[in-house]
Amino acid sequence: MFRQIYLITTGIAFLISIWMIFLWAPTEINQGQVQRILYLHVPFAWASMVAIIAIAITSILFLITKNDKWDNLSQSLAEVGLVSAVVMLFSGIVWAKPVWGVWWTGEAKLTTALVLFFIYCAYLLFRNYFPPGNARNRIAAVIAIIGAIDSPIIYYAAQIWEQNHPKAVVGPLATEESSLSGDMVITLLTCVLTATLLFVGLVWTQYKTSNLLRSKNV
Amino acid sequence: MANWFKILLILIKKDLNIEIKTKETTITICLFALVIITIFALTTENNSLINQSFGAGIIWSSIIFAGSIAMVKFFYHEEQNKTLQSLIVMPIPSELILFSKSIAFFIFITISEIIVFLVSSILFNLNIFTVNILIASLIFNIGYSVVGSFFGVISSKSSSKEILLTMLLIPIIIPLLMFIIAITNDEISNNLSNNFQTWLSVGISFDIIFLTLLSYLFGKIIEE
Repeated sequence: MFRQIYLITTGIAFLISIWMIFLWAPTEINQGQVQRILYLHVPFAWASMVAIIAIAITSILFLITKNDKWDNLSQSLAEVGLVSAVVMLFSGIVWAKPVWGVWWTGEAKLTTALVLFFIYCAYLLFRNYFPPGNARNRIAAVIAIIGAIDSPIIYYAAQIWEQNHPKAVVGPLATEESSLSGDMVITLLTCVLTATLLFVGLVWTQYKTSNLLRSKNV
Repeated sequence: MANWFKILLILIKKDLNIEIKTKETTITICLFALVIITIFALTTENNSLINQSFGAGIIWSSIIFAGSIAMVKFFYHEEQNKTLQSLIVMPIPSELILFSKSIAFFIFITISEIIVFLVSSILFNLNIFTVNILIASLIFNIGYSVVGSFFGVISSKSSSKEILLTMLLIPIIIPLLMFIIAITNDEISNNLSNNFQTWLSVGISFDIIFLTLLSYLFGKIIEE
């Protein structure tokens, strides 16, 4: 019953978000229609950042309790986190070209996002390559904690790195910074809420599926 | 405490003796790094502007990839001869195993870097032997050896050691990589940046955080 209600709520939130993005939110003056990518980019960036923190928490809980459900949840979070990171990176690249004039720049947030994507890949690659068992689950938890602790250091280093490199801004944002109007903020918050619902739903489905697979020893 | 130090010295001596006999790790790092550097030297014109812009990136990426390959070999032998397992069952603190491996690898990579720097200076016509770069290199080597040894032990048990170690190691050492490339770049382009101390604090903080964190977590990964 709860599953059905959750599914319907997420579906409605999704439809409302689509309507708000394309029909309700005003067009941004400097960037034009392309600015609407923001409503996809930011919510998935949020989901991928939340995922790495959640993985670190569930990994710590796994190391303390040694209960497999936490390990299972960490893996599910990493899988959905990786998908969110891919959406964030792809939408970011598509957005950067028309507004900055380049597909990619050495900006701190971009560098951190890319490294975060690689950390997710490393975590899942490890789980795939290492022989299954307690040792694998324990080491995977340790890798997740290291990844989460490393993320703010990467961001800090990337910020200093950015100071040394001129920004490749030749598009509409070269002279002016854009700001969000009230309607845009409401749309963005709705999209963040929808992405969160979608994220939780996907993690939960993935968690249930891997529980089932583990119980069948697949 | 004195006993721990004694054990640490014995463990380091063991790795150094093996290396003196085989010279495998140092030769792997030097040759692999030099091959990469030579390819870049052949493909780019001997233009000082190009070298000043890309020199640091070429030198350090070659050292990192060569180092990770040597690390795989280093830990593969440990795994094959079951020496790591023997050390784990010994009644010594697990951190000592990590420290000994890190110090041994630190020595190997530092020796290899001297040779790589020397050849790079000639091929790219750059002055790399400055005090700032040497200090930064030592800080980089500490972090790289500690994180590398930690992931080296982890990946040695996997069938796809090479890819796993590279994939685990490189994303984690990105701040360290930025630190060393930024300082090397500034030095070879004679751009005496105000950021030297800021970068130094990034490098030192990385080393302290990861030395503390990994020595605590090492016990968790070898726990059977």
